[in-house]
Amino acid sequence: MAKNILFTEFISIISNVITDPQLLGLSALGTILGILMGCLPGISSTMALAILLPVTYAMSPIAAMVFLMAVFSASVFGGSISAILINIPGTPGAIVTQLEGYAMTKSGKASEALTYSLFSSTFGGIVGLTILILVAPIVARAAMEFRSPEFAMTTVFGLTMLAYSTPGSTFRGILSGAVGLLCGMVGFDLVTDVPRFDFGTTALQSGIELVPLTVGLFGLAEVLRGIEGGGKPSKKTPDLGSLLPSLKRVRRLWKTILRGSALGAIIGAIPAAGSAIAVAVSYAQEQRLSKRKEAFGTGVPEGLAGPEAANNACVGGALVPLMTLGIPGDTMTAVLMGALLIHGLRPGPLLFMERPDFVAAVYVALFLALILTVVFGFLLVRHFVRLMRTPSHILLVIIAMLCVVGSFAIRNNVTDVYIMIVFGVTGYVMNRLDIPVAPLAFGLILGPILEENLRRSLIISDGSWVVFFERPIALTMLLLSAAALSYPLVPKLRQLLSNTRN
Amino acid sequence: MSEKIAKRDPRNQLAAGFYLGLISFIGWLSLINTPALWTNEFGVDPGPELLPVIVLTLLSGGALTLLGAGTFQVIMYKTPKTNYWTKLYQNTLLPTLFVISLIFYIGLMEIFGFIFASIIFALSWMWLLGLKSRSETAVSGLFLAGLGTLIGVGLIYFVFVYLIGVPIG
Repeated sequence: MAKNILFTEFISIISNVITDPQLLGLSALGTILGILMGCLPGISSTMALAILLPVTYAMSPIAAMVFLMAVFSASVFGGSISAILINIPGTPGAIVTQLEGYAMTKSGKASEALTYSLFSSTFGGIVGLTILILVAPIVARAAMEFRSPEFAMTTVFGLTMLAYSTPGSTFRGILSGAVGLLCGMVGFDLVTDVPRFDFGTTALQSGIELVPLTVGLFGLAEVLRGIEGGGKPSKKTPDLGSLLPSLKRVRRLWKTILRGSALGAIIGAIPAAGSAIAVAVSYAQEQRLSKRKEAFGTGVPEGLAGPEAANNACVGGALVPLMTLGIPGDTMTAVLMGALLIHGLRPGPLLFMERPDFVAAVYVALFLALILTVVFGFLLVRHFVRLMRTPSHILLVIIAMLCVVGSFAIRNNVTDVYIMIVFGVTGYVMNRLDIPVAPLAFGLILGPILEENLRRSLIISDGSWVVFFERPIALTMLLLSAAALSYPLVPKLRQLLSNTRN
Repeated sequence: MSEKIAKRDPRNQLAAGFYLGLISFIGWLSLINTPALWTNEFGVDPGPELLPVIVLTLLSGGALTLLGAGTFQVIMYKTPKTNYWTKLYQNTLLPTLFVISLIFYIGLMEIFGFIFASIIFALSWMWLLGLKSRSETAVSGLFLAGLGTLIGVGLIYFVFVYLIGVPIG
C-alpha cells in the first residue's frame, strides 16, 4: 500500500520537478557545485554539504532537498576526479579510486579513467536508488512497530555503530559522541523548561544549533588544518583527451559495475558501514576475481569501475537507515539529516506515512542528480579540471568567510558565529589529539531523540529499566551495541590469554 | 604532526584524557551549579538530569581510563625520544592567528559591514598565505589575492545578501 502511494507520488513529483524551472535549476546548480567542490582538493563532500546547508534556509523543504541531494550525489563523483587526476581523494569513498585511476592518468589514460568513473558512478547510483525505493518502505513498515524503548535503543545502536566505524579508536569515538550528546543538551530542557549547561548566559539558553557545529567541525577545522604549514602550491593537472566513451570498453566492464553496485548498495544500507568499507570490499572482490591480480595497482579498469560503482551505490543505500529509522549512515547523511530537521522534518517511519510526497521528492532529487552528473560531467569536466588549479590558500580563505556568513545566516545572530568558531577550534584540537570529530556531530543530532525516547520509556515503565530488556527489538539493539563495543577488545583479550598461557 | 607518532606515543593518551577530562569537569561543574535540576519535582518523569549524569559519568570514566592507561604506559615502558608536547604545538601559530583574526573580522563586520571587513580579511590572508607557500612573488601574490578576494567576496555577497537576504550588507 505504502509502496503504491509512493509510486504515485513519485510520478507526480517527477513531473512537478521537471516542469518547475526553479527546482530543475536548483538541481543543476547543486550538481555543478557538488562536482566542483568534490574535485577541489581539501573540500570533502561533508564540508561541501555543511557550508552549502545555510544556503537552503530560505527554500521550501523539497527545494532544499533537491539542491542538497544534488550536491551530495555529485560531490561523490567530484571526489573521484581529484583522486584520478592528482592522486588526492576528495571523499573517503574515492580512496581506492586513486590506486587504479591515478595509475591510468600516469600512463596517459586520464580521460578513459574519468569516463569509466562517470559511467560506473551513475550506474551504481541508480542501483543504490532502486534499493532505496524497494527496501525503504519495507523497513519503514517494520519500524512502525517501534515504540519509545525501541527508538531509544536504536539510537544507542546507531551512535555505537557510528563511533565504531569512525576512523581511529572506537573508545575515543564513543567519548567524542558523549561530548556531542552533552552539546545536544545545552539550553532549556523541552519537557521541564529547566536550563542545562548554559553557564548562566542567555546566549546558550536556546541551545546549540546543528549548523554552526557542523560548519565549525567540518568546515573551519579543516581550514585551520589546511593553513597549518602555510598555503600549498596547487598540483598540476593533466590535459584531457577525448571524453567520448568507448561503448565497447564500457560494455566489457558491465559485470564489474553490477557487482560493485550491488555490494555498495547493500553495505551502504548497513547503518554506519559507509562508502570507505564498500569500495575496499569491492576492490578486493575484483582483485580476487581477476585473471591478472598482480596487475592491480598499475591501472586496471576493473579496479576502478567496481569501487566507483560501489561508492555511488552507497548514496542510495545510506539513505535507507536515515529515511526509515532516523539514523544517519555516515557524516554526509548526518548533515542531510540536519537539513531535514532544520526544515521541520524528522526522518523515520512516520515520514513515510505523513509526508510521502517528501519521500518521493528525495527519490526524484537523487535520480535527477545522477542524470545531471553524467550531463555536466561530460560537458564541464575540462572546466572543473582547470578550476582545480586554483591555489589552496585562496580556497581556504573563501571557505572561512563562507563558514562565518553561513552560521550567521541561520538566525542572523552573531552568537552562532562564535559557536561555529568554538567548534572549529574544538575540531582542530580533537584532530591533533587523535579524537574522531564526526561522532560529536552524531551525538548532537541523535542526543535529543535518545533523551526524549529514554525518558518516555521510563515514564511508561514507571521508572523500571527492565523495559529495555523485555522487548525483543530493544534487547537485540542493546546486545548488538554491546557486541560492537566489545569487538575491538577481542584481539587484545586473545593476546592477553596467549601471553598468560606462555 | 605525524598521526602514527601520536598514536604510538602514550603521551597522546594523557593529552586526550586531559582534554576530555576537562570537558567533563566543566560539565559536572555546570550541572552541580544548576539547583533547578535537583529538586525532585518532576513527577513520573525521570528528570532532566538523568541523561546528563549518565553521559558525564561515561565521559569522566573514559577520560580517567585514558589518563590511567597513559600514565601506566609512560611509567612502565620507554616513551619515544621525540618531544611529543613540542610536536603537539608545532605549526599551530598560523591557525591561532587565523582564529584571532576571524574574531576581529566579525567585529569589523558589525561596524563597517560585510564588504569592507571581508576585503580586508580576505586580501591580507590570501596574500600572506600565498607568500608562505613560496609559489608567488609579493606582486603576483597581491594580484592573485586581489582577484581571489573579488571573486570570493562577490560570490558570497551575491548568494547570501542578494539571493537569500541575510542582513550582513
